[in-house]
Amino acid sequence: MAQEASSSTSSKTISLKTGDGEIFEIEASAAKQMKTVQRLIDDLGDDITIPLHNVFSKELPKIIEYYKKDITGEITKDFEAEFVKDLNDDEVKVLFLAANYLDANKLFEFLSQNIADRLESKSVEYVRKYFGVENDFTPEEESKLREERAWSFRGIKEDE
Amino acid sequence: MEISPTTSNAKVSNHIPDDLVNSILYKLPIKSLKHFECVCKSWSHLIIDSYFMTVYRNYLLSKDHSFYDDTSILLHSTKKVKYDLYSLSGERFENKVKLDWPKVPLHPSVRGVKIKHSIHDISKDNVPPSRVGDFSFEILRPISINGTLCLEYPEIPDINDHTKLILWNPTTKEFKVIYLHKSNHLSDVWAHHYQFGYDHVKNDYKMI
Repeated sequence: MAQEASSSTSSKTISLKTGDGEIFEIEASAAKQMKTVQRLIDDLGDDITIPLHNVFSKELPKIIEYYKKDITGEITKDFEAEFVKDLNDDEVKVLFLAANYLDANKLFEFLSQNIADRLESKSVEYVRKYFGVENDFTPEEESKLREERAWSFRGIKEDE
Repeated sequence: MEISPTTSNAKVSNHIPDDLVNSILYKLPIKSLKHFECVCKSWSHLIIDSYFMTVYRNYLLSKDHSFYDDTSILLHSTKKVKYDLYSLSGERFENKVKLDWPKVPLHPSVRGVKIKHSIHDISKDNVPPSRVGDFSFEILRPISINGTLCLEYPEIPDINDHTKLILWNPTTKEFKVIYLHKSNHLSDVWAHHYQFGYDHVKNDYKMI
């Protein structure tokens, strides 16, 4: 196996393999921000390709992009806005779950806030679908609750 | 050669597990949070759980963004017969919102029951609500704790000589009426001796 040319940690790259078999490179200092990855490196060594069974080639590059920016200390509100701009709600959900799996705290916090922002004015039905949650209220219970909470229903978008 | 698993994103669950749901809920504004109590029973129980609310409140207070830029002025209008409360917000306080008074049953205390310095939950009493806006009131300092106001009503007649205070959160519409026993020998100065506060240790509001 070829040794990395540079021996300093900061420019060393780690190979990550997604659940669907693709390999991506990431700098060791960025990998440190993902505790799951770092734990695997600690266990398996940093010359081996680290397998990430629950992360796939669709989302890993995006995550790497985020942390690449992070290690240069440049994550701004504008960057974050741009980062999620073209993602739909389900794509953000996938990234959010991946960030959780990778134990990538900064990204996780950012994405959970983004999901909250997106759900803010959504309907109850949309939220149920999004979280895969069943409505277990009886029709009477639900209408009573809605009546009590009528003030909170103002400004809600209809289901998209 | 390694066989790639045929699992695609679709098979790996895109279901957000319960423990992660909280991290999203904590970041919602209070209006949405209350709204989503209707999602399902477990959410409804979770959102009113006091531990959840404590963490939620801590999140809210530790946010360093515009929540605090959004301070409002409370405008107390004393028209002759009715009293109105308005919240003014925005950069130049141009957004004026009239706060809807809570439908609070404010009634003379039940005869014979002297409630001394205790909180009487009268939501179960079948008393028609008085029009709170008909009475003059004072807002006790500090004006607002976590969005809750404490209003004092010195003028509401009370056969047991109780002072009425209402703890009221205009955002969530929740309220609690407190009847305090006026101590006779302090009758001249009692009005100024109440303080309203929040106890971090006991995680509750305190009246002194």
